[in-house]
Amino acid sequence: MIARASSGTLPRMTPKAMVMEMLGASDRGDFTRFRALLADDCEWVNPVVHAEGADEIARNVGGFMAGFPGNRHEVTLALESGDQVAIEGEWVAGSVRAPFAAIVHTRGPRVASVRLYLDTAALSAKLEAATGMSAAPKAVYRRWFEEVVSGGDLALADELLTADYRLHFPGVPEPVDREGHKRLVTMFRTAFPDWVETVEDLIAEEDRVVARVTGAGTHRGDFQGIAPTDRRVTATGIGIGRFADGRIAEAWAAYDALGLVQQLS
Amino acid sequence: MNALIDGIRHGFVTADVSAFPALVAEDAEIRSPLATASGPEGFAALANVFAGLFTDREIEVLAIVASGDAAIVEQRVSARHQASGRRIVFDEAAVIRIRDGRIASWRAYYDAAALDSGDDPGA
Repeated sequence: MIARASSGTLPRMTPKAMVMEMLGASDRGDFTRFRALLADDCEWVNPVVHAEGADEIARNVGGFMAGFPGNRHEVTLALESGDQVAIEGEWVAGSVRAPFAAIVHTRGPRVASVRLYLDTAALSAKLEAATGMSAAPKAVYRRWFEEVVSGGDLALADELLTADYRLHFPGVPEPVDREGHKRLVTMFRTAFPDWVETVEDLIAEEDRVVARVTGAGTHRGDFQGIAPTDRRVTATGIGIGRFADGRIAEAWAAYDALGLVQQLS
Repeated sequence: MNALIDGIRHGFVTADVSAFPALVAEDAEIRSPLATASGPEGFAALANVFAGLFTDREIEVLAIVASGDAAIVEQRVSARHQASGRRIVFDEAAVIRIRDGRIASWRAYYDAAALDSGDDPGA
């Protein structure tokens, strides 16, 4: 959950201290604090994340960092001139060390822009060597839950799922193809229009990614023969995605269907 | 500091590296995702390779943050690849350290993968 910052609540810090605090908040996984240090119209540019607006930046950076528990920034040089700060250091995730440099502009008590420079080819190679797989599948699986399932962007499904995609879904005897999964998402989002699934864990191994998610929404439409109750419900679930050529080729889903129905009874 | 940065930039843009011995320490190191070199001769060799592969070379300084004997310069490099006619444009940050009035190290950070997705040919 990313909290909005209220203006005027930050103590005055030097630009360099502000940048170091921002990195520290990232290292602690405190993306509420991280968000509070960003100007509302902050711009974040790097080869991995290009985002505008503090909320989007905190969400994207937080999402990326969540994939690497215990990651941290080791700053070896920090320079300050006026409202600009330049840093050099390494991003450390397990045995992976990625050198980077960044130019940060501050405005008043907040960060106005961050431009981060690193070599993604070298980083990808290191991550693959350390984890046995690319970081990309985890990012793709996160996009599936956050943008398709939660955001309702069905067009994106064609980009994230292979043409011969198959889903194994509880209560459905035969595998569901890509169009079938899109229909399932539509059906679910018709019953729960504000449905959002939060990714709690992402674990990657060889060609598969496992996601533990918690969904929540309001029952506004018919669901499995149950008329709308306007009740707020939650459900936990597990998804396993098998990846091929950077896209999801097959998935297995399990969720607490009984618990969900009980909340509507 | 700015004069040193301008001197190196001038050498890479014009391929006139005659000033490099005065700008670069004998044991200076230059590192980037695609190349490493040392000393004024190494800096000059990289500038000559750059000039041999690319025409219409431009380097625009976007920001310089300097303090003491260190600086980080952000710059936009653009040039046309002679063999393909393709124009590449990329931003980089270079971390520069100075010793006795000359460059002691120059480390460039950029995304080498982005060089494969530059502007359209002929742009």
